[in-house]
Amino acid sequence: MSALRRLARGTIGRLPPVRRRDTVIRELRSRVRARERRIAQLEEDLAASREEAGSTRRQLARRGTEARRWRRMVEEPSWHAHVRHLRRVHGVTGTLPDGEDMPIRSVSRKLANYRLAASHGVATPRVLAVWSDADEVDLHPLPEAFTIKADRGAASRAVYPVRRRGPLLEVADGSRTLTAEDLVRELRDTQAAGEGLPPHFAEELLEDSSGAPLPVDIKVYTFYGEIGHVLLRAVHRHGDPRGTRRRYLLPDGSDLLQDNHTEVPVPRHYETVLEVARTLSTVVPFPFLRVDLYDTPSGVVIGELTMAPGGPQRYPDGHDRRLGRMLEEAEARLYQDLYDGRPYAFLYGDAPTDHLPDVRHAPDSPVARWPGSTRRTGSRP
Amino acid sequence: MTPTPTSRRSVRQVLAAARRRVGLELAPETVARLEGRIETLETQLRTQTRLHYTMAPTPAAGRGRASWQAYVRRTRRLYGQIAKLPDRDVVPHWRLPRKLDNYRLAASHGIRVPTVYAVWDRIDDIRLAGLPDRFVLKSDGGSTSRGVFPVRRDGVLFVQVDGRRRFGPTGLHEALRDLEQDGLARPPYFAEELLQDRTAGPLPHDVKLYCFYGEVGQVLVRQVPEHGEDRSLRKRYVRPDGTDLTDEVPEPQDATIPLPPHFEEALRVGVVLSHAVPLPFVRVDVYDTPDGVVLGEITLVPGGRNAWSLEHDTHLGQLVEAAEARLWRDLARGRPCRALYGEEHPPTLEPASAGPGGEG
Repeated sequence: MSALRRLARGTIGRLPPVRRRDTVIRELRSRVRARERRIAQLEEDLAASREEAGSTRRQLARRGTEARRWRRMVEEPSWHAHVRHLRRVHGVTGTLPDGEDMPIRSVSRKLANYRLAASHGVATPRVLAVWSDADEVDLHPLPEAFTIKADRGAASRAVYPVRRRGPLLEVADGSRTLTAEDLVRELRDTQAAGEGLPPHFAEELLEDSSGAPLPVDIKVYTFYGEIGHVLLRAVHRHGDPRGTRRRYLLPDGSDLLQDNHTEVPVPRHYETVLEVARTLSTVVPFPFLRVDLYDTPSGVVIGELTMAPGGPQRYPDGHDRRLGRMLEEAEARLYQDLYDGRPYAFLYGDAPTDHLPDVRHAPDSPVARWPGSTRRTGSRP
Repeated sequence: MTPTPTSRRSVRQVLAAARRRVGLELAPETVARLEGRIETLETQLRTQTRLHYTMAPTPAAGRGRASWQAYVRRTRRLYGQIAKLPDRDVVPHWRLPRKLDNYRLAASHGIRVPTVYAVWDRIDDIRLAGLPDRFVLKSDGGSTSRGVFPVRRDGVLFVQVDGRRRFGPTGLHEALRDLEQDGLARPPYFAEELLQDRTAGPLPHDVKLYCFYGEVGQVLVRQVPEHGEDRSLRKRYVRPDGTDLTDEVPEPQDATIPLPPHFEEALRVGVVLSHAVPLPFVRVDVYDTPDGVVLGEITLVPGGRNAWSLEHDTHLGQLVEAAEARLWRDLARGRPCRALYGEEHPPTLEPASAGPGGEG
């Protein structure tokens, strides 16, 4: 009986119309299966996506303030975001051929900056000696007090403000005593580590107009002709960030932050500080420059120039936004000057520089001069 | 006996019912149910994905990493600052949207540009009588598809080629005047060939190259069936090697859109033009026609949110920072901070005007 049924089914199944019907049924079923698979896949994706979104939402809730700050740093001008951006681009320039002679990198050359500043009539420390290598450093002919520096070295690395104490050398704040041999060895070590690059030089030990043993660092944050704020940094011990007192001032001399160390005195020559910083900020092809100065009894003297300052560079949101906006306005003015023919280089003035060693930012490039643009002041009065 | 329409219909109904009974057709409600579920799920997934990127729109920059989105926003703000400057006309960013200047720049590098029939300094000077039956009327400084009118002549009237708008004999003048008053169109005005006429089919391939001072980072290929009608727009984002960016760009994409036939040539055009302009990024929009790649326009930054995956945001952010480094290096080596013209074809478009950051 079942054999008969199988035979009948086989015979019917071979009939052309029935075979066609079976094929169509198979196709339709496979289409249904494909759709069901697609649905299952989509449901899986959706679940995964919901899970991911849920985790992001939880993360955002957890981070709250930080997440809002991240968002603000992209959606609005931000000084903090810009400094991090600059440091990254600075890193990339280090990998380019010719990168070392680019202004963004060569701005760290201290002796070249002295000459640049001097050409604009800005006072520099008196340079006593220059050596092309740490091994050649000879301290014997130097006076009672002096500072030894590597031409390229950041954050007080390879900088020694010292006084002679008999056969020894004492760091100017009295924190440490060392022999001439120790000093030379340390210079050699930092040179080998790539942190204090030659030439090395000796200059006069600067005095502070307030009488402090180490001069107060005056760090002026400039934006192509305008000033964002002035940081006064009174160092407790040389090379030791602990105990450093900071005071932030607006250009008008008012205090910027609530936790300012107001006992750090405002520089006696504050107006000159601002004027020198403004001048130097437009001779570099950057929208931002930190101009480090010292207020000595005989007047304002240049320290160093920095394009992308280190440290966290974090300020309250309002000030971060303000500096970010100043930076973007400065960028617009700089672009306009570049179009007008401003060389993308350090611009030299006409004041004498012969009293300083002939060290330049980019040894192979000619000294750049530019009379300046009538538009330089930009949209702001 | 001829069957009546009614009897024919009832026979069809009986047959359909019979076929369903024997399983030859899926019940329409089954198909509808499955298709409906798929559509719902796809919509939900798109919403969910977009929500995810919206919630975390700035991860790369926030974590101190290079970020494309941060660059886009920074540049838009910078453009706003430049707009406030006196004599802003000399700044490369401000000059960039000028279409005729970009044609001259491209032509000088041997890159094809649309044939320009006529250029007018003022709307009142525009004379359409001598032009071919089909042409595109453009504003030199208009953006997106505003101030761009691809039309054909219909007696004394003009009809937009997609048939969506009709203009009287002076209707195009009036439309431009309205845009100019709203600041959305800038003189000069000009008429050029309709690139569509180079192909037999619909519009030519629309290719948008994301260029980083001599390097193409990503390509957007679009199919726009109708002028300015974004609803029917289909997109595909690819890397310069032609591989898809489906996971990286959370926008609806259609991977079946073919790569343009002259893809390599399009990439080359992007490299040459982006190197000629003193900016770390430009988007070079070209059309791929049967004759080869033709320049559309060059833009400063793309519109939209640009909220892409964290990895892709970082990747494009790194490209733009590397481009910035190379540009600064070139400026330090003496590159003028303006568009650099090639030697190949002296620019001939009239009235003569300066290039994007060109001869000021």
